[in-house]
Amino acid sequence: VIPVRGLLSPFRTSLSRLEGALHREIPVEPIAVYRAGVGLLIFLEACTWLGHTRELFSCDGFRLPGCALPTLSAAGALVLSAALVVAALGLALGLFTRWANACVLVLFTILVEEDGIDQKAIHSILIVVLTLLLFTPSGAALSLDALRKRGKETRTHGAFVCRLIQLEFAQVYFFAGLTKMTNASWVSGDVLFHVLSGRWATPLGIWISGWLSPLAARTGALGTILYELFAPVLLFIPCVRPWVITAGVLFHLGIQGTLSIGFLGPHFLLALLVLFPEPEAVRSVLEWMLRFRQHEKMDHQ
Amino acid sequence: MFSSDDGWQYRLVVDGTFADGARREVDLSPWFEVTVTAAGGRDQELPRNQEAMRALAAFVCTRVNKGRDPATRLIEVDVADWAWPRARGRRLAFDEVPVSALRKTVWIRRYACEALP
Repeated sequence: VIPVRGLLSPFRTSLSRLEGALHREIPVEPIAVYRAGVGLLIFLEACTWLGHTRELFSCDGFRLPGCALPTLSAAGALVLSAALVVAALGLALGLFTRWANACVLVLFTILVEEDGIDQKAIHSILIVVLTLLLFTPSGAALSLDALRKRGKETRTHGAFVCRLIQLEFAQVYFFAGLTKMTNASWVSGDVLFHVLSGRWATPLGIWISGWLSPLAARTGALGTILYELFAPVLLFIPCVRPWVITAGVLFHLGIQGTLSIGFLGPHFLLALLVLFPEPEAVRSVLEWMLRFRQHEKMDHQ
Repeated sequence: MFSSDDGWQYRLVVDGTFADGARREVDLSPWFEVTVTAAGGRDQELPRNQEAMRALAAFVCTRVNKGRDPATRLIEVDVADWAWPRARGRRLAFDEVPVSALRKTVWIRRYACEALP
């Protein structure tokens, strides 16, 4: 019995470490910043929809066959879009945060399903994240709710749901990398060339596609695949995490500069910079920023 | 995300035959105003399958014929894709592409508008 116990002991230690990482108490600030950022991104996106609700979401516009939801009237589409703008602003500001979060989740899901034509991975990621965010105290800091309930709000929360949100981003990277890896044209760099000269490319992307050498394209393609395959694991290893986050920031800035992909880049940058570093470090940076602002105000007075 | 790309640029077109005998491309921009990519509006992002293309043909027939004089009604439509290989370093517009480089895929041929209820 004793040797078996000895064999199991490292396994038990790893398991208890994992349990500690999943359930330990962490500061609320990272999830609060993330909530505010996501709310702002959806608010900005929904504002761009407002002028086109008839085409995008109502029965007056073209609807793809097979939409599971009933078609909306022009007035209904406008009302739902306007409600999404208000709810997203509420989420960004942290006003009745949980209600705002629930409203954004429902309205955003309905409108994305109604549009059908322009559905992207970015939308499904947001729907998952908004669902998970409902189970966090994301309004406990940096919010109007926190101002209203000054002193009564919790300062920490269990890490479990935050870990699930991290895993959502990790699996998006991993499966994106896996799909690219199994495509020979991606591995050879051909798809990178095509994407940079494609309809999603920005003028910068088009310009780069004009002089990029095949070797550089292949290197870029392999770098993309390797990052997407390994970052999901390396982001959870503390000693390499800062480097993986830095590489991820550069990776997303590069994509955002060369391709018109809406708020996918800012969303991933937000997650990398806020959700993946040690939560205590994020809190310290925020506190330092607040102190810096207070000093500046005092200096002005 | 961007897991595949064949290097071709596509342009979806709907060609209509009218009751007065005229045949011309139907301008889809009144119903697809939102620009999604550098290639154009949401019409260019439609999934290329029979179901979606048939739905587009029916939609175009209904919208064009709404309140229209029977003598100039749209009678039938073709839905097709023009495709051409992309150039590196610049965006080739449809008009700039030599005819020999164009490839056409017909999705719906002679969809009868009058068959609509």
